Amino acid sequence: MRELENGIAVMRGRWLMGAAALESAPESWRIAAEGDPEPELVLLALAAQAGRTAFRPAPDGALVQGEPPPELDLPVMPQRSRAAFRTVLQVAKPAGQADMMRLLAMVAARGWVVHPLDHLPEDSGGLPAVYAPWAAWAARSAGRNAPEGDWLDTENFDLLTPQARRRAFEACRGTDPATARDLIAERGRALPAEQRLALVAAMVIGLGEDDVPFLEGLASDRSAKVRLQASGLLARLGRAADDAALATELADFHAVGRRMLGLAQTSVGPATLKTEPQRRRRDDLYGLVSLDGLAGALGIGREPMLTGWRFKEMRATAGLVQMLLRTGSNEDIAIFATHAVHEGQERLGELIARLAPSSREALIPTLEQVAETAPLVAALAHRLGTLEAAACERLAAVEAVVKQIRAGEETDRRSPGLNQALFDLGLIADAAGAARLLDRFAKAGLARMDPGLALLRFNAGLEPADS
Amino acid sequence: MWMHLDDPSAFAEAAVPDWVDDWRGRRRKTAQPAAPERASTGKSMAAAAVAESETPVDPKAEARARAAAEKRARETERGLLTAAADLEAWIADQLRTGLSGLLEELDQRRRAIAARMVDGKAQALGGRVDELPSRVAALPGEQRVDALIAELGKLVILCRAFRGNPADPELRRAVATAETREALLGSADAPRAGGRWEVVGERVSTRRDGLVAQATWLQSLDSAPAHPFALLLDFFPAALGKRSSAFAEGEQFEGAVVFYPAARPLRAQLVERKAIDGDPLPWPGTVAQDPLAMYQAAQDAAPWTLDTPVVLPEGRIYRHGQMHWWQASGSGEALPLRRAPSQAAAGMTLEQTVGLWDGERLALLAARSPWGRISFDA
Repeated sequence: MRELENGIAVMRGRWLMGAAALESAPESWRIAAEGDPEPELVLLALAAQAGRTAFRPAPDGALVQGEPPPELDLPVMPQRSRAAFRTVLQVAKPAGQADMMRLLAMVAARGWVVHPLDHLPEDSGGLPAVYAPWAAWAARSAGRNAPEGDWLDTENFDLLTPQARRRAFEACRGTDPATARDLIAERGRALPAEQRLALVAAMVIGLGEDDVPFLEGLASDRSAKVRLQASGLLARLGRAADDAALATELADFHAVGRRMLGLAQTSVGPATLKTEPQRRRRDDLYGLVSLDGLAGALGIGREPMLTGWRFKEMRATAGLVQMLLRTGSNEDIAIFATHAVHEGQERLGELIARLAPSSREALIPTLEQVAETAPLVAALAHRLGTLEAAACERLAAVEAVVKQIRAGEETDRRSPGLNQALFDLGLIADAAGAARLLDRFAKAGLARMDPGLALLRFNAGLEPADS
Repeated sequence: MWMHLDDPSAFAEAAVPDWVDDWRGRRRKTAQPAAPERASTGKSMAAAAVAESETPVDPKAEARARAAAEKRARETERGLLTAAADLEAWIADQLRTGLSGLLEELDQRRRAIAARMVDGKAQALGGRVDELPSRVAALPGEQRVDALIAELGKLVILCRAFRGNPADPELRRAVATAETREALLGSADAPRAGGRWEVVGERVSTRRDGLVAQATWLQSLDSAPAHPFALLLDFFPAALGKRSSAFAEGEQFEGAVVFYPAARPLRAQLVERKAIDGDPLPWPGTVAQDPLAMYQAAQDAAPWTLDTPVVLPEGRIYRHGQMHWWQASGSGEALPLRRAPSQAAAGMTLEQTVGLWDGERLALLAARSPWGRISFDA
């Protein structure tokens, strides 16, 4: 065999240069080729076939075995659901990483995990805890020394990946906020600004008076983002350190009045601004002043300001919400979310996401009357895929979707928000609810195999693991 | 016509030459002018029941048409044989001028010869020549020479085999075009197979001639099937855009296929497909000791073929430098992979694997593993 291999190698060399290879061919080949008018073609055919069938490839060194992904605490979803899940990824296309994480959370809530070859989740914020061993495995496979574990201490602080460190830090804050704070105080300064910012932001978990000295110390941090984050946390603790001039300037962009609805009530809203530079300045100030600072400058309390907010300009409301998320306490957010459900609904999803599960649950009966699906997804984030069929049918959002479908039938134009609404409903419904919604939307005129219904179809077929 | 106007005497009356008959025979028939409407006599069932007289058959016209068809068939065969001879001559020229030069200018040089193949009605041969650069360029530099030799050598084998037996339907399919679906279904020589099938892989590729080729591999789930695989091939213009597949990978169905006649039938047409109600069946358990036995048998029967589906025994995927290899658990036989698999598949035990082996690289299609069924991007 070695002789044949060498013979072919010589022939190859001659053909590369354009020389005849007959004289260099193995003897039996030469005899076979000599009688042909084109002996070189005969040799070429023999060399081709020998190269493809007579030899077997062999690696020229040791093969290295990869490490398979570890088994998770939940089983991989059944085969029939895997195809439907792949269809969701292909045609329904979760809009972003947050939607992908919610989809994984819904699957996990049903008692399953995805197959690693259908989707290997990225280790980013919001990854359900059940996937943590895969995140550590992916880090090891990529050559990063990432020990597993959901605890943070001085020994593993520098060894963990940024995502794993943030996850462990969050877990640590949940059970022992002081230890977590001491760790970040001792080791955090050496981290890059982005990683430091993520850990400081995670201090919202278990935030308390004990954190004040450390947060005040961050006023000298070299990153402006970290300084702003720390000042926001301090503001949530009622220790806002606002620049009075900025607070007054922001207050001047607002108008305080009174409205008579049975009882006299304070009304606060953005003043009408004439120029774009004024509006931009107001946007900037929302990012620099705290909720407390604005309320103080307006001369009213935080609660009257939040409950009296007039949703007359979306841009101003967005600025207020940003300020509220940064510097408001959980109570402030709950108050404003309740007011927004009844009055405005803008940026409601973001506000609800900040609430504790018990506060979210309290809002759900009201949210069922809201036409938007995003606030519902946020309110049900801690129990996705569990809304029962009867509750699903009651939702005002479902009625709104039916209207969109019918309007689309009449105008032959699909509503731009329809697919996201269908995806959101697919996230929150339980299997029976998803089946009921599929029937409802099919009756309204949507084809059962419509790509927008992919998540509802997947959901309807995904039985709970323990059933 | 101008010449006739200038000097009509130069035009003498004579019999219509054969080539004119031939040309007229091949022209597309223009639409018949609409028959003048019959005088309206009102609607009548009795009138409708009267059978219209059939046009009498003209035996002379029929004979002429038959003769013209036979002549066309002879011309086509002559064109195909010429195309095969031309390709051999072109390959011989490339050997004389040196394969290093051909490697450098493969894309430019193949265009002219591929066009000549198409002109000679050897579309399949032309398509194969057209795809030469993409198949060779897909390999690392040092392996391109071997790949080029293999591709050209197999073309020589195909051309020689066809010139030796141009009536063979398998060879004609590899050189010209495949039989129509109607002709295939009506053929008594076409093998048929029914039973449970699983879609083990699908590959969609855009060819240089502007067509999109959609290849779907089916695996028979019978315990000892005569034809373990069937390949469904579909072509459509790329200009039509992306077309959704009729199959889902991993899907099982009860169906019947008709194979295009061949020494080892593979390409087929699906004639029946029924969804299954029960649980999916496992893959046939028995796997040949030699993982490449199916490939070797296919090469013995049709040495011009490029790749063959193979069923591999238990193994794993390993890494060596930039390359990934599949290696059998028992024999230790290793096959290099055409593409790097997903990171998650790289360490898994693969209980049984289906792939396409082309003598050089293995393209993984699907596998059974402790994690369930796995699909790979072929």
